[in-house]
Amino acid sequence: MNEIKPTRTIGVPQPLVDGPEKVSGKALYSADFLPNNCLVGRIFRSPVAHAEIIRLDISAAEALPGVRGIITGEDCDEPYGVLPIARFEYPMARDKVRYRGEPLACVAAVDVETAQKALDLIKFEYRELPAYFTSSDAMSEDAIDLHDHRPGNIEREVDYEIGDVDSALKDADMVLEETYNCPEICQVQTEPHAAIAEYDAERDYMTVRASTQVPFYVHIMLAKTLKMDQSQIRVIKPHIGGGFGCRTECLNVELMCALVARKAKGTVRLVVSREETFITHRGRPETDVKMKIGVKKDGTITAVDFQVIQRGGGYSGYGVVTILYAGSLVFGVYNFENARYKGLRVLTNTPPPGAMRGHGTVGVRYAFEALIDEISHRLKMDPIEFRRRNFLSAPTFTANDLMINSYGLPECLDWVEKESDWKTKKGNLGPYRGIGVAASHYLSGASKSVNWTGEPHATIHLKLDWDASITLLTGAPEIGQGSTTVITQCVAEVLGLDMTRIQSVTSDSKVTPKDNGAYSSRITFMVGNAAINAANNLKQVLIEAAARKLDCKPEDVECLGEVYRAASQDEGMTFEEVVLAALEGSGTITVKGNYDTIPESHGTKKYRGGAIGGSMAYAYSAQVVEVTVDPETAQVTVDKVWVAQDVGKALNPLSCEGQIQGSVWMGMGQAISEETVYHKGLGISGSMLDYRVPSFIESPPIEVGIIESIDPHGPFGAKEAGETSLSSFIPALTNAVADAVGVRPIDLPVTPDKLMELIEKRESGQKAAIK
Amino acid sequence: MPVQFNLNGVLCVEDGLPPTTSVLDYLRQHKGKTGTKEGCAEGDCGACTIVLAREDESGTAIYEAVNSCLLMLPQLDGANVVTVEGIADADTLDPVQAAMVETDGTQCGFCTPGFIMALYALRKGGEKPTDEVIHEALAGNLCRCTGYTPIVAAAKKACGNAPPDVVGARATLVPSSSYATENQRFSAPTSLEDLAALRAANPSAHLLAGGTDLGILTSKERQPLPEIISTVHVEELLEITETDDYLELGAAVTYTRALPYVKRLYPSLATLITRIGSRQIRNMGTFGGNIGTASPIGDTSPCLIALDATVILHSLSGARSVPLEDFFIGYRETCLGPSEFIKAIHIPKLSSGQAFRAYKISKRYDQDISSVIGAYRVGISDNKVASIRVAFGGMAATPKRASASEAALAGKDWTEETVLAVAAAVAEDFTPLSDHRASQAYRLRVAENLFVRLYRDLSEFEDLTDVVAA
Repeated sequence: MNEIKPTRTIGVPQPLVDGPEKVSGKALYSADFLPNNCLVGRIFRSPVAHAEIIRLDISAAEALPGVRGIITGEDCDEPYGVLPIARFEYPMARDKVRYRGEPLACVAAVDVETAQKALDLIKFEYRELPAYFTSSDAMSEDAIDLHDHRPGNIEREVDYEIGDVDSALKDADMVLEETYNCPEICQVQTEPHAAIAEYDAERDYMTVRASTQVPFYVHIMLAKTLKMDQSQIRVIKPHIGGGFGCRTECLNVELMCALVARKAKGTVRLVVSREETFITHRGRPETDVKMKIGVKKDGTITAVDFQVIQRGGGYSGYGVVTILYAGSLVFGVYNFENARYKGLRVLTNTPPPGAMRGHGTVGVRYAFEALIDEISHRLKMDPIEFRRRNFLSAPTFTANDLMINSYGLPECLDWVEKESDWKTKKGNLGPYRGIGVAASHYLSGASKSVNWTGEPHATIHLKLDWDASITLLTGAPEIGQGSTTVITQCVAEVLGLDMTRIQSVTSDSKVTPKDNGAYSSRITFMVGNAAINAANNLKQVLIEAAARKLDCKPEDVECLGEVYRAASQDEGMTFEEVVLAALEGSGTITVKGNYDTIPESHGTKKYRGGAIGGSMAYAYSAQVVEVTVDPETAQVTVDKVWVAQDVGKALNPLSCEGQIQGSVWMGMGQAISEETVYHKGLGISGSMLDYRVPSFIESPPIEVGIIESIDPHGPFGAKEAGETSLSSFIPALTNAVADAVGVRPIDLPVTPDKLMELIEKRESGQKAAIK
Repeated sequence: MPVQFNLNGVLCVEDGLPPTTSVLDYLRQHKGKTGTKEGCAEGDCGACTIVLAREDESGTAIYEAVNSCLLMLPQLDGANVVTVEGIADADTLDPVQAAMVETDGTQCGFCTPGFIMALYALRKGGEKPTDEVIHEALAGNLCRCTGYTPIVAAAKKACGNAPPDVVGARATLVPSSSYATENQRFSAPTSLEDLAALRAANPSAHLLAGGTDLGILTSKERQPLPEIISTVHVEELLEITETDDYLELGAAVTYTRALPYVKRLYPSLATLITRIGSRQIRNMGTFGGNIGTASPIGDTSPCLIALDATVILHSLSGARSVPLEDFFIGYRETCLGPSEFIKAIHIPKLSSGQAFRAYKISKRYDQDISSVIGAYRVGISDNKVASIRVAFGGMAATPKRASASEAALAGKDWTEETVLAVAAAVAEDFTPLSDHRASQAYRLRVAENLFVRLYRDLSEFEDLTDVVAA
């Protein structure tokens, strides 16, 4: 009996629990639900970017046989939006359209062909208004306002100064400044948005399945826009084909689907095309960053003075949060006391961006890491050494009160320096080959949620039943990041059980506890902690039941997973026996576990909005990128990437590695090829052909080093694993290109034509100098 | 006549559905096989990949991955169709499925069924999963979660040791020659004569020669095309003829079938072809189709022009031969008469001392439209340029010869100075546009640089005849 050991799952590579259903085609996504008599939804969209709506005539479309319902802006006068302070978007435009492709109506018909014909019969009369496709045009003096309550087309202006920036810059031995442009980026998740709404007219009850990262927010917005009682709505999230942030707010797709289902008194499936996902957008905004950094000769940073302008599209979405993140998360990687920030979120006539992987931080981190690379170059200091001169020392609070209890950046830099053979390669790779380094961080869940209700941040239910199975009930949306696997591991580890004992049911608002959703890398940290709490509570129940049967004190019961015993000599009870003992007199048991953040993690009160950026823990990343530049075409090839991330503790090393590789790869797309392009507000990159995510051949080998700093608050010490390593790729790449060709790309992406121009300018400059 | 095919081993007989129904819609909506996914409806993402299994002339089983979004239902006539639901053996996952679970190759899982099927075709084909082969097999599948590393690991784990296989008796279905509904007709003639007669009777019909372009009209844009004539069962159009002097490819020969010949005779063109779309596209797409759609952005046309190819056109009144460069007369316009179609493409072989090179420049290596494509057939004798044909794509509205550049090179010494001096001629030949693919300045500069690349490339060889083999 003494050999009996609890099963250990934490720190052991675990294939994802939903892998088998995904590889066999059994996993159901929203568009895969095909109930009988399901109607087809199609959206009528604005052909212009900015206009007053004069008339929308749907009479001919309504009269078409097979059309079961059409809704327009008239059918919904309740605005929606993820932030309670910025809800002024309607599922379908009402007074004005503010971007090309904005929904005006939604048709439900018996089949696609009829729905398509109905769209052709809708007549839209409008008066065109001047439209602004760039931040600067929208801010120009003679620009008219997109929204009456947002004068000057400024969605939000953020200003702060921490410390004394002017005197710190004066004290600096070197001050450099540069302005970087980062284009708009789309997630291009592989599954186009889809919703299926089932309206039960007799009960006035709505069931919606949707491709969302935030079923709870969708639930709130459905109740609001449908003007239905919240209790009469059920939201289920089936499998979803990626998110990366574009589904962290309720989208108009879900709302229109439900509205038109109610109108048609039936079930409607609304699946948008690939092009429409680009119009629905909610990706990363185009961002201009003006960055100024002052340093001492020894490399220590004295002050950071920076400005950020984000092209915010026609509506707010997450905009206020994005511009606040851009300001607050300049802190947290390095140690400096003085910073000044001015951030402008601008309203423009383009599709609204949202919260993409690395929300708010990516442009600023790029600018920061590119500029300090240039600074260390001019100081003739190794860029890794430069970073070492500016390390934080945990535990600490940054100058803007970010709470940092674990800080594995030094180990990350050590790892990439060694593994990449940095010291040998730096400056020695020969012409047109180069190597670059950069670092980044990201939070492990926003400490204050956008819907602040006083409830805990996360709640888990564990149902224990007669069959000795544990059903894990969580609202936390599995979106492919592996959250269900990791939560299951947390429960299994505490109870010492094999993971197969635990079956999960996720994201069904009538079954699972509420959860804020899959965003800001909150699930592993917050839901993981709640799962540990729940499992400990369940363990206590089991131990007490075992103690009753074994006739001993609970503290004398030894839990070995499948066996509970009083002393090591005792044969003890099987798990099944303990479960039956626990159920005696009580019946099926459900225990719960909670998690909440502590006030120290809630950010700063030094400026308005300073809570944004506050987190219980920050993950760190460093990476080295090696590139080759083709002298004839200026094409950049990424030869290899070495990346190390401090994830606190790798709960599932297999999944951590996958998440880190995925982040690096997504950063690579943004660095070398991805951008959305508009012509007069019309998206001209709205396909998988024209929006160039890297394909197989561009994807380099990515060596991953996992650093475990064991955060005191993390579940088993864990922190974020799926976002941090995106942003450091981009500056590491441009730093490598600068090393390769001697000119520094500034604007992203580093496309061959832009780089060719830079190289030619340098060459002609050199020739001029020779003359 | 109904169409009939085997779907995961079960005979399906279909009649009454519109012929332009995409196979993807058919599988999902009509057969409840929702494992096959729609990510883009235009053959870019590969989420809809299925496998068509057949036996070649020698009885060897061939498994070809194709994009179901670009296929029309009657194209399945007589086929053995395999979807992600049909590859597990009872309770046991196929090795590629098991490997994808073990390596965490799934993440969100939406692209997974498409990858599984592309990997399944690779595994069943028995190829050794080298990096190059894996790249080629999976270039048509986009994943947004993994960065591909775990998928490559899965490919290496599961592929490379499949035993020889036979499709079996299921493969004996005979395709029907016509499938029609009240308003639409899909004809599949099997002889040149029948095709010519059908074409003459239906000059406005759409000719289908693979459907990787036409499929977008029916799948993504849902156009109910009334009359479609498929050319892929016409025996004469499937012929490949090789003599001492030329290679002649029937217009309905797929890229996949043509590749071994092209690899041997014009290796640089073969490299380029492997960058056209993906295996899924090459398994359906044909040279004839690519030339027939007269897309200004097609990659093969500049190459074939440089190779001095001619197209053989056919109709009831006989055949004629037209140099490819004269075949294109404007944007998406050709010199095809109303009852004419392309029968074959005739490509002269390289003579001794001649080399062919093609360079494609695009922002993304695979699955991208060229910013610039330069194609060169050069003959060197006594270190002088004895013959030269140069054509570019991406530099004008149609694929075009670079006559001034050719003149600047012809008869000159084959030296770096000669090649560097060609720059001015390139500017004379072309005034390219600036667009989101590349700027005008970039296109011009790269076009000039490609001559330098050509020179350096060919200078590695003592004797240009060796180039062909390299």
